[in-house]
Amino acid sequence: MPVDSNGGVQISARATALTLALGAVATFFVAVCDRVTGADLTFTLLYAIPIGWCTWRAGSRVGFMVAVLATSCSLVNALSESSRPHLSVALWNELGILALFVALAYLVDRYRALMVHEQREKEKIVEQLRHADRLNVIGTLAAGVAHEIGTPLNVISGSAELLPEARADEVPQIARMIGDQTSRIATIIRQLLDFGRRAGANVTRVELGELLETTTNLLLATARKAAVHIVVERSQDSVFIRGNPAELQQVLSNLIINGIQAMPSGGTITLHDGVTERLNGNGKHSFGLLVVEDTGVGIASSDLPKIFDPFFTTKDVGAGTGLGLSVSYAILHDHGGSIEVESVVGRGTRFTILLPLEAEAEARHP
Amino acid sequence: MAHAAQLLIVADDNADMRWLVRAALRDRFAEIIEAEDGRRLFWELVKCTKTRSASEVVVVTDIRMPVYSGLDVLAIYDELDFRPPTVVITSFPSKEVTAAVDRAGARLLAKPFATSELRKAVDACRQ
Repeated sequence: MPVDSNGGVQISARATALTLALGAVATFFVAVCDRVTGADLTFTLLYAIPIGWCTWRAGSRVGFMVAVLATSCSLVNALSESSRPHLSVALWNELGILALFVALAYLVDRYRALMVHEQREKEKIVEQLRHADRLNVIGTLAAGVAHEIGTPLNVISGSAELLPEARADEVPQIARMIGDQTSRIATIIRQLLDFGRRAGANVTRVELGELLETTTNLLLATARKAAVHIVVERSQDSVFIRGNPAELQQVLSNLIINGIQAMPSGGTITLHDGVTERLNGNGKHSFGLLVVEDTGVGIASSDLPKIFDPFFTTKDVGAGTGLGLSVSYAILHDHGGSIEVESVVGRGTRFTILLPLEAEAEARHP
Repeated sequence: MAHAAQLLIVADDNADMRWLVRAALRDRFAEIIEAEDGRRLFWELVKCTKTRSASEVVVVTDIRMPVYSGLDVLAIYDELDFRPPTVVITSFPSKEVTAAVDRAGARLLAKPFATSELRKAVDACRQ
């Protein structure tokens, strides 16, 4: 049950309606009973017995005793022949009613406290999970950096140690090794910086269909070599968004190259653009849409939640650093967009990119 | 140097790393073979089982390699009934890795290591 910022319990509209409806039915039923028996049973049936039952369940013995006494008094009162009960009976009866409502208030308060407590516990658990998740990502990141940088670093330090004892003809080789491995480390660092870099540079008007065409043109040769057929289906109406075309091209290339690598014996990659509507925090919004679909090996459902994590890769060692999709994710996030994935093992994978349309992007960043 | 081991097999997917290990240890071995992935390392070991005793071979292997990892190959020493002295070099010696290397009776060297550490580890495991 959601708790508002003051710690009070918000009861949903549906629960309120249901309670009122049940109350109305019960009232009607008791009224009929009153009419048939000629005695006033309303109080006993509607309040005394339910409250007694609740106090019993809540473990309050005193509350239960009060409820039983109040119930019996009320019944005696209702069913007695005399229309004017003895003063002591009437007094006890009114006190019983008072005590009953105090018991009710106690029950409501206990229930509310229980709800708030449960909600706090839930929030604590969610926070712990989030923290564990963050630690997990940092751990993966650290392990990834260690893996990628450890070997080149070792080659550089080892080369420095070997130089004094190296043969003269080996010196050029050692120099080349130091250069190569340094640039390898530099590449990893640049990719990591891409991962956490800031947005906003070189933002222009981008037509999604054109973006698809220019990106695929760059990759046609690679695709042909892998027996992969690329189909671009541009939407009839041009879809405009605001963004950094080079970065968006990088995202699309990543997806297309992943697609090619997912089809070792060839296949088809279909790309199309368009407009779609999605619900978010404040109502329905239109988004520019880019879809990249392959007929490859698919992604195991156990891997799906991890594919956007940095350094997660299912490719062979050396074939991928596991940064491509996480960088793509970060780029799209900077653009106010998002990426979704659906995959069936053995059938293929579909990536869906959503980007705010030009008009909406301007409204957000005028 | 009169060592029993005559052959060194260096397995790492980084060619420069293989060259470096070879250069650091070339005085100590009569023959050095390079393997660029776990499969090649595996086949070199299978060949050795026919021609040499395990004490005549030393293996220096990375863990993260294409096809078979270094740990995959360590795990089949028992199957081959061939347990050459082995130094495992890795950038990320996690608990699982350390445990697996210990189980196989191999030595672990964390990258980046000094050439002198590599030489010491190889000499120690040949005794």
